[in-house]
Amino acid sequence: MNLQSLDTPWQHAAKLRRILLLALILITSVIASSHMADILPHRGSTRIELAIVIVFATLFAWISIGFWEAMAGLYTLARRVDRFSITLGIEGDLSLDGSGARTAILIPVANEEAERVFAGIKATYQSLEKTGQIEHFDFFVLSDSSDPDHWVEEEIAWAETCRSLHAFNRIFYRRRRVNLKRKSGNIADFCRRWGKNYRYMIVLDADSVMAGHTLVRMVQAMERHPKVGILQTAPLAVNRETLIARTQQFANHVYSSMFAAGLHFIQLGDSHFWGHNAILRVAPFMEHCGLPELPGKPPRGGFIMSHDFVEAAFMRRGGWEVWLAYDLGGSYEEVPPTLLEELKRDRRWCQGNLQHIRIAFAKGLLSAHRALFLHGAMSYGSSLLWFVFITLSTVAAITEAFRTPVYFPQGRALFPDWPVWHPQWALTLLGTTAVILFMPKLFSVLLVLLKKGQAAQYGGRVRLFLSMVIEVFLSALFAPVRMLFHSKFVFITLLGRQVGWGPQQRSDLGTPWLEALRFHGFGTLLAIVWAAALFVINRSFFWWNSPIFIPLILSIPLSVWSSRASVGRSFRRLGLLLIPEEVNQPPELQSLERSLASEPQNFASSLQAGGFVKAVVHPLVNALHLALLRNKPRNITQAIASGRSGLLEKALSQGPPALSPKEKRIILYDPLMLRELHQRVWETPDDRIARLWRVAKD
Amino acid sequence: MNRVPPIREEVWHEAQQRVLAYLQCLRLPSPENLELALKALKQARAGLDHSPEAHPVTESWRALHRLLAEEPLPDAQDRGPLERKIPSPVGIQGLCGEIQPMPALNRGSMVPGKLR
Repeated sequence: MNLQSLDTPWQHAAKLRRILLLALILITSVIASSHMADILPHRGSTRIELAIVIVFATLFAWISIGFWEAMAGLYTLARRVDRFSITLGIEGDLSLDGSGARTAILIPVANEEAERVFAGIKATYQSLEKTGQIEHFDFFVLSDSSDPDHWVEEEIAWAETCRSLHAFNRIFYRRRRVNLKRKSGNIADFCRRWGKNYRYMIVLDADSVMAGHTLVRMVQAMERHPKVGILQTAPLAVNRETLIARTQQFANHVYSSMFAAGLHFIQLGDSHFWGHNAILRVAPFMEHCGLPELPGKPPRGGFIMSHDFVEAAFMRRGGWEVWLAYDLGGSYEEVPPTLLEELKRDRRWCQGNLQHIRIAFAKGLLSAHRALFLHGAMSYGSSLLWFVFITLSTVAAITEAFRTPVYFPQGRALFPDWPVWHPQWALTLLGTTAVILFMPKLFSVLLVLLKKGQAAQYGGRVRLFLSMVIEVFLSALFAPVRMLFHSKFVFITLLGRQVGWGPQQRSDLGTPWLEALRFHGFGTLLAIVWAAALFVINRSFFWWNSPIFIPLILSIPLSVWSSRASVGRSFRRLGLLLIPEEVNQPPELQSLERSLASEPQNFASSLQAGGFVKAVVHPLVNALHLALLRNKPRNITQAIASGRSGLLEKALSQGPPALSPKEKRIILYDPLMLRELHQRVWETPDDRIARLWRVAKD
Repeated sequence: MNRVPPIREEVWHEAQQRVLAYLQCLRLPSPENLELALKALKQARAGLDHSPEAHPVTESWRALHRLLAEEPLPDAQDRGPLERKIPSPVGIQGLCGEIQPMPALNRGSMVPGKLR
């Protein structure tokens, strides 16, 4: 393999591009803000109006970043030549022979559906096998699952996958007993144990699927550019059926290529790491990317939650480059199936991103990564600012309605102070904001239309355009709901309250009405009160704010309706919100679909029970679990022995429903107890116990 | 002297079901299943003659376990490499080394970076 460093002066180009971006953002924001001040009755001269203008300026600067990045992406994609593309020069043979590079593919999981995880691994493995390069790769499923059922199901799925693919000693499974630092700790643990065996590691998410040729190309790119520490792909969202998820899939496919190209244009070798679907050079990662704990208590202190951004910053601090391979296909992920699942994820991300504010000012980091930390924090902070903006505007509108105008304030003045309201100026500003928000979407669609045959992948030109209109309409409906929740998350995090880190729901199960009521009830009530107050006090302001409070009032049915897979499928039948992977399904996704469509058939499927019961009852699962456990019987104190004896009797007489997850884990960790329980369950003459443990039929 | 009441046929039926359920989990072909089940039940009946206080279900399963321990599991058509890799449910301790869920350790260090 030809080893050569990047010979392009990207740092210089990056500097110029960032200065240009900053200038464009500042100019547009200053113009829009002064326009905003002019619109206000007192032209920004009162305290509340000044606050409104400041918040507006910040928000406008925020949306300008996205706009100008998208324009940079448009420029990059329209030129069709990118001298800084990291994938340049890797178009040749799909071969790693002679490179000596070994790559570990890591799949960290924590209480995920084992069936889905291993179906994804199977699809990726088979695709890689077809490239003929499988011998350069090993797979590691790194489990942090604490749920006893998930733990055992993972073991079964691992064994079954290895059996069906003849991949023993190629696909490995490790479960950590102590989940220190969660995902980042799990990967660090891998590095400490086996990192020295590999030059690269590719990190996947539990729902990731990657094409074999993409994996090989990623390794080739790393080999070609030895200064690169992290190479991130831009994953495409696929496989979801619910309306909200299909909307996001469509947006991801049509718009994200432009935004990703724009990010690349600005960042070049100072790019992001998104935590998955990326390749990392193991040695520098081990040297530079160990994560410290932050002083103080969570959520502001403690272990770093959103680790990926920090790892990218540390990699750059160590002198290694971080690139985004925005033009490399064959990288897939799934989006949350419902609005509530998305919001649950956002709550974790919000907490992690706000924690980054502290890191942004740490010594030794590059300014580009400091900016990324602040950008990440603003992703959620902007919602709170929007909320503040609406609140201030409402207060100003109500105050204005009740206040008697003072035309001749104290002091000398040539003219009276005449509060003026210019609706046509306000409309101009609204139009400008809409252009900033929606123009990139329109340009993205144009880019698709300009590429020969691309529009057909989205159902044709008309359907593509209609899908964009639907996406814009739905995004506008969901935006106030997201804003309210994100504001709450920021507020809660700033108050120092922590959130749990549970598993994500990855299946297309809809949101029940009661759950929607529980989550959206407060927002609905708030919007009703707010709308009613505006209607009575200031009618014109009421109409101006109707696009915000109407979606909030409708948030319960909106959340439920958009979570229905049946609704999403109806749109698909009409050829709307289609994505290319639905029109021409890639082999990897076909394989995944086949695996998930069929009933899971494995050596333990004859017993219909949860993982824990299978480990106790099923002789093969019991044997497999004991073999994987590798625990030698230890000398334990009399008190512990007595406690375990009591637990064994409880398990036997009361059955699995009486056991807590902790008690189940104790049993699963103890080979002697598990073996004895297996024997006693099978030989029990007591019919009730036999039925409890599923060794006798009801 | 207390006389042990005669065992009802339903209890033996239950023992038979239990033995068959266990063998079904081992995914042996039907003829092998039946042969092993018959042997186990026969041994259990003989055992009960010597210790009449024992229960047919317990005795049958223990007999089956002894049978499985005495001879290796018969080869079956649908027993793939996995079943051959997974150690027999009896004598587990001696066979634990057969499955390699992880490669051999090759330890390195990864020290947390500093943030000031």
